[in-house]
Amino acid sequence: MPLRTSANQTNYFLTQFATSEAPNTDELRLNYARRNVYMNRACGYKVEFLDFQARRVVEEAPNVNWIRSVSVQETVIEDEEVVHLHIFH
Amino acid sequence: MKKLYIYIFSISVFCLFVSQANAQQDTIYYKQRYGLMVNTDLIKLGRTAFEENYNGFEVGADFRLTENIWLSGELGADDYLFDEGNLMVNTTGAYFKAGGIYNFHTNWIGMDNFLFGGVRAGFATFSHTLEEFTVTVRDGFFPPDIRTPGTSFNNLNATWIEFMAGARAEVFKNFYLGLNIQLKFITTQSELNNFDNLFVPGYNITNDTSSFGFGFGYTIHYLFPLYSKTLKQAVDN
Repeated sequence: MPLRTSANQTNYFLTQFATSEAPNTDELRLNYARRNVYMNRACGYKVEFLDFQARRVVEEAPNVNWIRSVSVQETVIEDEEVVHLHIFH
Repeated sequence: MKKLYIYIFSISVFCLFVSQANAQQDTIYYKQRYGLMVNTDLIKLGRTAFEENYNGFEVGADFRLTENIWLSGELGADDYLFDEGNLMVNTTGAYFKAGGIYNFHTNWIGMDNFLFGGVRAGFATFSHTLEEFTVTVRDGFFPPDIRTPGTSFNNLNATWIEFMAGARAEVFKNFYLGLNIQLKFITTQSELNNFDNLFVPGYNITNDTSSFGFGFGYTIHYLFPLYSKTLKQAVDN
């Protein structure tokens, strides 16, 4: 799941049963700080994310969250090699 | 009999004179020009005229020390916009190079052409402005994130050693055209915070993985003859 490098927040609307007659959409709010890191002349700069936080927007009845909980595993995101976030449903 | 002796004597005297005359012709005297040669790099002028991303010039001088050795130096300025991939960086600065060349070419008498090897120590002072960069991402899920920070990196310097090889030919009296290639390696350079020296004036494009660089020049020279040395050379018959 990519994060926006141009802002400190990325919101995702994740839909369960998207093709069915009763889709269920949950909002996931991802907040972080950013740091530009120079790599080399070919790649230029990449963005690393710090203080990574994730939160699902809790819906009121009669809607039901299909995401039961989220759990941040790593608050610093430097590469795609490790798991940073668990989403339970 | 007496007539014959006189005849032989006069022939031998004649031969002696002839051989003495030959002996004088066996050494020739010629002049070798010593002086100051000034030059400018036509490639830099051409790039300034035709290349949008580059402005610059270089002037140089060579002073003849001995028959084969010249003291050399160059002074120049570069203004270069590195615009490749995800980066756009403007570098401006000036440089100075000092060293010498050794002319390996054995000239015919009266000619002063060059086939030379040379060495230089280079020093540059410069600054970069990071005009624009595009954040590198693995995927294209979001639109490109283009930043225009305009960050300045000032008061930078670098030193390098340069080996060169080239040729010069006198095309008109005192006018020379020359070619040279340069292999350089950086000895010291300013460290940047979260960035790198992509281009160094006088050194040219740097390399991320090695300290070697490369350059070439196409030069036009004018020799101001200051004095000449008269040399002599024996000629074998």
